[in-house]
Amino acid sequence: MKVKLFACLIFVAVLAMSFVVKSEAAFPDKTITILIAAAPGGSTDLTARMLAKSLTEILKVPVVVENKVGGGGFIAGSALYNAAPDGYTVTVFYSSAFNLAHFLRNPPYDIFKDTPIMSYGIYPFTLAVRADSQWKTFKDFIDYAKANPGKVSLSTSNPDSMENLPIWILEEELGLKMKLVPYEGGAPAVAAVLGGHADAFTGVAEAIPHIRDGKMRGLATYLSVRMPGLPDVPTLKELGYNVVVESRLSVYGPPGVPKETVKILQDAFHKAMESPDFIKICKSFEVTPSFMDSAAIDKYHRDLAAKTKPILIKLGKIKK
Amino acid sequence: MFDNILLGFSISLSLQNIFFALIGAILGTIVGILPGLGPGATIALLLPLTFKLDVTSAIIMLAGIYYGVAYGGTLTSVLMNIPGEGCTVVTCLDGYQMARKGRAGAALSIAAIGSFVGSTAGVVGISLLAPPLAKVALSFGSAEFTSLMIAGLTLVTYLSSKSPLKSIAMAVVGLILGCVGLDPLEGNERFTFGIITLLDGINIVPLAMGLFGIAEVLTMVDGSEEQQGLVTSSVKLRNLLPTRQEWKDSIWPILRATPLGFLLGIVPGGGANLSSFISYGLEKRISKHPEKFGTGYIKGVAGPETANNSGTAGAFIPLLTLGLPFNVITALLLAAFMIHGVTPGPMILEKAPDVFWGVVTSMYIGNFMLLVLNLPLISIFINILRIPYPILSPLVALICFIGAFSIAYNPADVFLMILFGLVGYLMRKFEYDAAPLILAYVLGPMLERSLRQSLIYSDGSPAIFFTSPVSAALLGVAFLSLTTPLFRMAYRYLKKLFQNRELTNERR
Repeated sequence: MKVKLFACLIFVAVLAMSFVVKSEAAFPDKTITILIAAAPGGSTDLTARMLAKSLTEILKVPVVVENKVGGGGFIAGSALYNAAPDGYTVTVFYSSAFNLAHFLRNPPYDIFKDTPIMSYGIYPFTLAVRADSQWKTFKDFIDYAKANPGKVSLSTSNPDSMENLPIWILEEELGLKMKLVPYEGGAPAVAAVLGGHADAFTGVAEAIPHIRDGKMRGLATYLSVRMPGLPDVPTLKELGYNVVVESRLSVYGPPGVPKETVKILQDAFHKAMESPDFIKICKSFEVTPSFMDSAAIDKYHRDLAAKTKPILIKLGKIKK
Repeated sequence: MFDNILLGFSISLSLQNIFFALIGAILGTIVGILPGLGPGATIALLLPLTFKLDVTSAIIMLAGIYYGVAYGGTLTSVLMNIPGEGCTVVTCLDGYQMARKGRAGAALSIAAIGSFVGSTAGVVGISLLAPPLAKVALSFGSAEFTSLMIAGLTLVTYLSSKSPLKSIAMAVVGLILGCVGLDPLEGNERFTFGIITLLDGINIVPLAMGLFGIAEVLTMVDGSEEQQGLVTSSVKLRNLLPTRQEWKDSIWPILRATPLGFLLGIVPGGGANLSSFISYGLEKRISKHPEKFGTGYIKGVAGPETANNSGTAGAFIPLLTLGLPFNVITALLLAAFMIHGVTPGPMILEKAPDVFWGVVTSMYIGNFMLLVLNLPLISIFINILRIPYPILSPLVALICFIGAFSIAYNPADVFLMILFGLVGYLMRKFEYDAAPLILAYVLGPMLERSLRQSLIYSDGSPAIFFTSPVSAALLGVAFLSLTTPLFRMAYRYLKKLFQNRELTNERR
């Protein structure tokens, strides 16, 4: 009897100790998973993989990337939303998830409840025309569009991706009317401009090599800063238009991740951005490395959403 | 030009690059054989591993996977009626029927040789004509593409050998299935029923695996068809080789499919899938024996199997000379180039001729390796046909399940496949052909997108389709394709009338 009691006591003691150990163990002590809504091999996937590689060294636990493709990104989004808020599951969202996808689709979760951690990069956004186009500057282009409503056609990679938002804002603010023609991805949209079918291209990286090779001309970028790959292309802000639209690669956790954990992750990701592999991949894909902390990225996405909503209502894309 | 090709071979014939071309060819064949595991996923997985390689070797290997897939994919289509990749779906139609007649070896041999001819001719096309062809690709806009799709869809009505009405009904079902997902121009949800997975539309692999693979298993199980369909006794070397008649029947489809597939591979929106479908439709449309298609006719294998390879080769032109990838896999290859600091595009011939010519010439070597690799594989894999039905059918089902799941590790794809399997089974019972459904499913969304794009450009005026000469010519082809049967019927009727009159005259 006594022996049994003793054994029980030891068992309870060990159990209690293991709890103590568990609660005292600092974050992180096991594998961290970064969910990626994009397919392997693209800029989102590869930047995240490079960060994961150096995070493994910084945090001293394995950090792995898991691609959860499909459902317009909602499969990964749902998986994150329903994950335990312990910091061991995070994802990389583009700004569109808090903006166009949030308003125009019907996400099965409230993305603004997710925990912002940090943002590590900006996608390139540019407005470009063919090199032999009559428009030498962005002003030429806008003046022509103003004088000829409904004449100018713009090719884009997708019906409602972020690179269309600045066009909608400009149309709204300057009273323009342009034809936005969605393609299946950036490559055919650039081909439409090179082949003379569309007048201009609004979009991401695909046009940049053509601008550098002199086949296309970059008229403006919608970012807050000039892109490192195209130092001669001015921002809309420099040109006097109060339009900044950036699609930011942002790391988020499920709703309710503790503050201390967010801080550890935020700082670790920030440090990981110094990795030469990460910088190299960013350069290859024309992604601008740019750090924003948890509070700043949260504010950026909330402000952008507030600005976008009335425009989408005016365009008739959503109801009030 | 000749100097450049010599420069290319001096790079691609180095021991290291031959080795990587071989690795690419082997991996490509394996990926092709394994259903569901596509070239995209494989290239993406290997991409980080190539960081340490030099750019030419890396691209040689990754490109080898891409064009190798169109070789390997044929095996499962012909032997088990499981289309592993989009570009080998159409091979199921006649390839599997040939296997049931004991001609699997012939089907596979012709497919391998057609693949080799298509690929090699495609690479010659790249070597000689890449920059001018890139210009042609750019001139091909939405209006031209719309007319091409219309011409393609007119082939649909001829795809079914049975009732034209049933064939059109199936084409409409295919068009509806193609509408599932996000509207390509407005981004509105269509036929998604609130199911997240359907937002991206229905993937062709679960659809085709269901309609062909699973439906086949169900038909085997219900015992209504003769069980000895796959003749086990005929697996001898003599039967592996095509007969003289089969050779004769295959030459012209191969020669037609080579330029057809190549051109369809170059244009924005085209590619190997489109090439194989259009080639099948064309072969059937111009054949004197359209009723033989779908019953195990070698022409239905030779054309598409050539076209998908030359289409794959064609897709390298916009990638290399414009830096514009028009499909997922060339997009990954572009990423591979960029990671290594080489940007394909108009300047690649000046900035990195060694990379360009090294990669292009490696494709000659890679395709030769694939042919040598695939021909002996046929005699090994054909032994699958020796497996008795009670063992083979669950095996086929298992492969389909794994294949559907491995596309995106999404169980919903497996459920979709089962659903289409049941539908496909019923379609067989009531004699509805799957071919028009699949063709319309592939072409429909492309037609919708380009039609609506064109009409935005033209402010709603259909004149845009007639003012472009290419577009007008393609519409002419569509018109002829629809009306020639009427002319033929009228001709036969008049001839009969004439003969009757002559007969009556003679009697007088």
